[in-house]
Amino acid sequence: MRTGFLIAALTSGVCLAQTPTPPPAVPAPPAAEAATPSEKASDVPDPEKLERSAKALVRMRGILKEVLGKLEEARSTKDVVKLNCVNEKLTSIKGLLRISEQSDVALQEAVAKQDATTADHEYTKVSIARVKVEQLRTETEECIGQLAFRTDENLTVEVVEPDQLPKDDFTKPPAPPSVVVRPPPASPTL
Amino acid sequence: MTPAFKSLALGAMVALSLLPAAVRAEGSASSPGPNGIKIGEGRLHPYFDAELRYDSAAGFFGGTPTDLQLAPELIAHFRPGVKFELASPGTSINFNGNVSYVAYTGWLNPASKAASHLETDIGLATAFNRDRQLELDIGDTLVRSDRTTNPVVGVGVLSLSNRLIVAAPIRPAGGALEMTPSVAWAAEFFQPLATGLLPHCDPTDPTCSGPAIQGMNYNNYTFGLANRWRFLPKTALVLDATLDTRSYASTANPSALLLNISAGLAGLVSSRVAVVLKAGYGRDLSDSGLSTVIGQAEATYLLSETSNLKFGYSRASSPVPIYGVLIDDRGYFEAKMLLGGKLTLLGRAAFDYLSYFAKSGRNDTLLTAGIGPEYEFTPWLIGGLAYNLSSRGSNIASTGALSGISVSGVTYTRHEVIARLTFTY
Repeated sequence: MRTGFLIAALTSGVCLAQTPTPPPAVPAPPAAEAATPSEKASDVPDPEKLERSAKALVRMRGILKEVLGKLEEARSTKDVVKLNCVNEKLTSIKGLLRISEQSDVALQEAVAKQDATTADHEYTKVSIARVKVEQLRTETEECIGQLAFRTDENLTVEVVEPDQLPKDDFTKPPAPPSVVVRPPPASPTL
Repeated sequence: MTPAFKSLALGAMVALSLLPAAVRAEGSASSPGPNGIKIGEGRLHPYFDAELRYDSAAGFFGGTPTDLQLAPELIAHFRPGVKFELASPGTSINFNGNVSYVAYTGWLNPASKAASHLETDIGLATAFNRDRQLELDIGDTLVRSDRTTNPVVGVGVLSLSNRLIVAAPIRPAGGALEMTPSVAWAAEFFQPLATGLLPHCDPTDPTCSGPAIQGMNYNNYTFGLANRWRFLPKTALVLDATLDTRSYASTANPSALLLNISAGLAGLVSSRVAVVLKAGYGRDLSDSGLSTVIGQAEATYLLSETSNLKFGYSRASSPVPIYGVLIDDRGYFEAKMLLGGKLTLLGRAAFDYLSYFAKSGRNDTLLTAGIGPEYEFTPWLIGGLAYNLSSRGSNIASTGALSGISVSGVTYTRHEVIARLTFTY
């Protein structure tokens, strides 16, 4: 009996030793940031994927609203060139948002089915779309130089001097030196 | 000179000599490396110069009393000193002070030993509030030397001079415009370097008689206003004005009230060429009658940060004893090259044509040239060789008290060969 107890204890210990230990917790990325395309989707946990995808969609919808406002602004000023420029960006944003919404639904299905490959793929699509929409927003600002004329307290002007200029200050030249003489002395024996 | 005047001036000079000061003396240590003794935020660098110089016109030690001849001699200099540097965004303090014993060895002419003497060179340059709109600069220079800026002197003298300057650069708004009012006080005292008297020289003539030379001691006040507008980062329009007022110990020397105004351009005109182009007007508001054009035209070609070629011409007026004022027309050339980070080649040449006023008709010429290498053996040991030529001439023999004499202290040619070692910590 004692032997059987000992064997049971040893085997239970072995069984316990073979139980895989849970992986260490991965620090969650800041909730406000979506994963960048350079970050591997496989490194992001599934719940995090869902949360980031949802936030990305919210952000993209906000940008869409913003660009629609700029479109109205261009329309009201009857600026045809600006209108066409903004309209072009708006069309791209709408397409990316549509793709992102479809990918979000597919992501949720993949996570529910524990289909990691599909989940990674759909999450990546949303991430890339978000970066692209942010870029389109910036380009919308630059339509007809709008960004160039916007001034706020963060606007600075920097004068860049050529690198190869000498370091000395040549604007303060010294005055011409006075003439200096050293006349020879006369010997006291003379 | 009244006793009160002399006491006041000497007392002020002694007091100022106790202040730390910095000026670049001839033969003093070049810019030291990271060694030195850390004192607060600055570094103190003690140094020692040892120099041996062959001077072909060391003094009137040869010939006969009626036919003096300039004689050569080997002259040794021993110069210990200290240099202190402190620089921060708002404050800079630079001090360079040394004491030098000039020993006429007597190896070639035993009579020359009497000319051995002590020299000193102490200078201060400070700047406060450098990063603000109103800056304060204070500088002082105390020099005891056998060299003088008084070209009238025709015999070897020891000059003790002090110059104190206070300036207040004002940079309103962004700093492109800068106005610098300044006031400077300078005093110079003379004493004979040796007690000999040149033949045919009247003992009361201060130009050639050592004992009478103290009549040329003077006080000089300079009021200045320098303006510059930097319309490019390293190029500016400049407008300068100075007013010099000088008085002498002896009333035989006419006082001067000299106004100089000039304007022009200074700075880079390309990434490698810097120019100074100034023209103006000089006038003596007292009795000499000087009224003349002054100016400067100079170009510097920057081969690199450490090598450059410079040539130029300047015309300037300044007070002098006996004659009141003089005009100095100078053509000059300078070259400096740093090779391999250790070898520095230096070359210079200048020709001065001095025109004296007070209806004297006197003109002097002075040709100076020098060349020499300087090598940094280690960061604390620098060695240098140099050859200097100076040739002075004057028409005073046909105009002044020394007429008929073939040898004088204002007509000579001097060749110097110099070897120097500088130890710096």
